[in-house]
Amino acid sequence: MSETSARQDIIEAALRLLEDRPPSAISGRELAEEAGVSYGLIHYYFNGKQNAFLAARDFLNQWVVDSVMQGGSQSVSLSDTSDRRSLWAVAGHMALETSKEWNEERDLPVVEAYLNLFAQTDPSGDRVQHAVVVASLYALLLGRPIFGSHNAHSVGLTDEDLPKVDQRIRSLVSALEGSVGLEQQT
Amino acid sequence: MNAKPRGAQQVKVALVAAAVRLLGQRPPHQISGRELAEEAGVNYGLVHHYFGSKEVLLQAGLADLASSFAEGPIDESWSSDEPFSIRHRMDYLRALAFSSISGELEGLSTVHPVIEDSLKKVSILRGKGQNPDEQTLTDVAVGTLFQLGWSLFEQRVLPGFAFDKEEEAEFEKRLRATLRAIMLDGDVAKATQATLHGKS
Repeated sequence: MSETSARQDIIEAALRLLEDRPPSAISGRELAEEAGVSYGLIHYYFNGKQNAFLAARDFLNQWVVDSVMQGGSQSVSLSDTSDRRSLWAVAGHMALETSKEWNEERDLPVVEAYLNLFAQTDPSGDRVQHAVVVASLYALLLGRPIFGSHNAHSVGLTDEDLPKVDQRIRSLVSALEGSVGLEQQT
Repeated sequence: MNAKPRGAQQVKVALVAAAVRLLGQRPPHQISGRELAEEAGVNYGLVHHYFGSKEVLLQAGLADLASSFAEGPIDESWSSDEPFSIRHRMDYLRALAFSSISGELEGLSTVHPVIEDSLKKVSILRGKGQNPDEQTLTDVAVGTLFQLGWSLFEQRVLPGFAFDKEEEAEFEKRLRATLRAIMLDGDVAKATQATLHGKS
């Protein structure tokens, strides 16, 4: 196994475990076992499990910007988030990790990519509006896979009604994007 | 540490409080009956004695979170029926998020004050009274996932906007206007652009 592939194996193992639970509920030994490496290698590459999970988060964020947002040139769609548990469950579990040391690193490539995109599509727009649109997109695109079917069932809708929920979200997303000059995507 | 809980009442209260704490830390399937007993400082056998199973105890924990949220704080500094009120009770939001991500929430909880309050209010505002139509139900489902979704991610995302105090207040106003537009089938694009008149 080459050095870089062992490092990447640890990151991918961290992402698999983060689909299931928050980083504080995962031990360094579990991470090593999932990655098929020795515990010492996690220390060697990341100086401990915490940095390994932060590296996994950075990797996921960068992947969203590079692949899903095509280098920041397009927005994220509902199916981009909903269809990938590896994305919304990990994002949710990382957001639920509130102890201070997890949050000192404030790299937010996705938020930054969105703000840069809106600065191009709506150069004369105000930054508060751009932020409201980014926040609303986060709330809808990640709120849907995390809370959507539960909330729909709670108001008395059935699984058959879920496509209508998704349709409503898609029309909101396109109205929000339209308000900052973003062309509707096909 | 407190003295070991004694007697049915104390033991039940301690176990429910333990469930509330652990539900805010990890998904339900990652919480064992033994951990619940240990957290409560009681013997493992008492979980089964008083609740029958770990699941029933976790249900009691979620029900306790829901009812204390619905009651609001003693000082009435906020009320559960205002927009994004769940922010004031991150313990409840965390429990909802963990069990919703793992797909266990529907099996554990039947009472949802955030959703029920919104549905009642929105249905009346839309002139549907006690009989909300399908469009109203859909919009409330979306409006509540918007509230829970933003409440879950705001602490992480907000610093990325680097707002001053004034901008942050304006942002909050427009976010509430956006929520209102979602719930009442209004113009969301307009809601992001300008502060609407009247209450948010």
